[in-house]
Amino acid sequence: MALLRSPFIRRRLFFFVPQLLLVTFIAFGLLQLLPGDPAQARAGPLSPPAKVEELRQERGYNDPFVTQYIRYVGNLVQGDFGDSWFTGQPVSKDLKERLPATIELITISLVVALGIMIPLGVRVAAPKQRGPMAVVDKYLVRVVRFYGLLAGSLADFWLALILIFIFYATLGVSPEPTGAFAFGVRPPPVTYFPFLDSVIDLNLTALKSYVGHLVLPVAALVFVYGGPILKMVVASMAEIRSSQYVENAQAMGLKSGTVRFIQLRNSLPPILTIIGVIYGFLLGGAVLVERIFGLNGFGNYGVNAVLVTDWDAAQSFMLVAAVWVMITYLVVDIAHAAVDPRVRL
Amino acid sequence: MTGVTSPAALAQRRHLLARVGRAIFKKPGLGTAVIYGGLIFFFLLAAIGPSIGPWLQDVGCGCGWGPEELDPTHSLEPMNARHLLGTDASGHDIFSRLLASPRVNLVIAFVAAFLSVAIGVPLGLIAGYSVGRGRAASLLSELIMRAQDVLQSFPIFVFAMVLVAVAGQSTQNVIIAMTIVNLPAFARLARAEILTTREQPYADAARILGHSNVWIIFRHLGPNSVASTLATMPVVMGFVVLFTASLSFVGAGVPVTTPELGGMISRGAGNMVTGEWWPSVFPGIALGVLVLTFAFAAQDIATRMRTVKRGESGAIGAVAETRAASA
Repeated sequence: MALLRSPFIRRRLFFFVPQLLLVTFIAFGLLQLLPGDPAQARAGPLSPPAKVEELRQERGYNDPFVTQYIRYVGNLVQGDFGDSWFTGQPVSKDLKERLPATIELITISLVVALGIMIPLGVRVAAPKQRGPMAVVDKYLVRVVRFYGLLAGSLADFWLALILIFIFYATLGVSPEPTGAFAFGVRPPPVTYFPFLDSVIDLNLTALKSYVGHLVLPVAALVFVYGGPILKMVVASMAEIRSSQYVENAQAMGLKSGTVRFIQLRNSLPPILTIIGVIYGFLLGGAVLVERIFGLNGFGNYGVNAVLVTDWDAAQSFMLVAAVWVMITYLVVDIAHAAVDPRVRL
Repeated sequence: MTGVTSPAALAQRRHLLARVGRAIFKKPGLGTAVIYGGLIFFFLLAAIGPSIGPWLQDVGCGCGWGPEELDPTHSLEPMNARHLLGTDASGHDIFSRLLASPRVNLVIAFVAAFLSVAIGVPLGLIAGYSVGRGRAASLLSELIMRAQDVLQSFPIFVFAMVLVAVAGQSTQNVIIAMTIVNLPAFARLARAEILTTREQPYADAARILGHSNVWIIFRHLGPNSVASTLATMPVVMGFVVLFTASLSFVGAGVPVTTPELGGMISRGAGNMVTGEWWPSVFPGIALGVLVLTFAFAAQDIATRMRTVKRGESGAIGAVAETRAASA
């Protein structure tokens, strides 16, 4: 674990806990500013004032801000995220039920995106100058350049709607956009990861249904968020290609595959960064795609919570998403230090 | 030109963006004309778009409708002479609403981008300049950047939703939310830039002359550090346009009655499943083209900047170089 002793990683770890506290503070403070009375919302609009007052006392809504904040952090440490008045369950239970679906969706999307974009980027960064493929590569370069710009310009929710219109409403080849499974085939939840649950249940019908329902949302996410990955692979590879040590490796007569591998390894850091940024962003950022396809995931939960002023739920959503991002960045930085020794200082 | 600190070289660096601007006029080409023509078109639309529909009405064209006007007996109609691009479920004329919509999106994009530059860039400059200048300054720098980390780690979409929910749905509050969301990116860029410019000999020269740190940061290093930061502004504006539309899509952005591209897509979303595509598709295309124009402009500026910076290697650079040297 020499890696963990590097000054860079140490500095990163040192700031992790204060950052975590700041995140809880912002999540808590911001939600305190929301309009509306939390006690009233929880009790329901028609409940008598005495009951509302009792609830207010019981939950400590009248306590000073700092007291409430400390109690909040204390509860968090014990795994108590509060209760959602909207779903009528503890938020931790809601999260346990919804987080897996989203994590699975974005992980599958990321894997698909990487599987397409990295080979494509490596190819485009070093287009063939001669031979029968030269013409193909020439156009590929142009297409990729345009796609890079286009991917960043399309709204993911709009693309999702277009996909639904084409493949569901017009062609009818896609299942209805109303969830992860067709009606009645959802396997009994064990892990709440739809894929794992289907496998555990040995339920082929459910698995097929799930994959069918996932094609369009994954396609929308890959198209929109694969763009930045592709751009970064191309830019990073092209930069390394013009460096002297690659020329040297070529001059030494190494196989072109070996040279490419050296190139890819050295161009990894910025690619890792962009992957981390996108993976971190997607947990809270695939919201609209989730919503449109009726996938009852984490993002949808957060948006609903804000729309119905469900304080505890919204707070927990922001907290979990922020912590997710911070952990992703931390992992990226550690990976960064692993592939590039210069960073470790 | 390593370590040149002649006044000419300074003047030249300072006006990098101005030189890029000149380069655009000098060597336009068809692509450039389309990109910047497109931008001008959208600005014009932002200025007069909302009044085109009513104007058509005034001159007696049957296809003229106000952006808020309803034609309930002709709701969800496909394109025809009465409604050029059809109507949505509540009977709005899509054509005139489409003309009126970019105004809100562009105003938010511009104001938010400028505000985040105005706050983010100074923060980044201070953070970058303070690194390694004693314990306290380093700590300040680290604090600024780690605070940005925290801000950036929030799920920006729901974060913006909450900000707007807290402050109330209005254009102004969407601008504030967008500013907060985009601040960190500019701070980061400016910090990265100043980390290289502060190693230049003229930075040392300014210190030896006894200038205060504030003066050095904002008078000497700042202007030489912001060119590439400012060049990313079109990208950020495009992002803000998309983001504003996303907020409106869930009904948490600008007030729902304001004509806005995301809101229009949202209104038509339900009809998409049943096959009425026009209420959502047209505003979506407009949104895509608008953001794509920004993206192309950003790319064009970046390319030209590389050419100008490389100096003698490009023809445009050579011209600018000679001009700066003789000035």
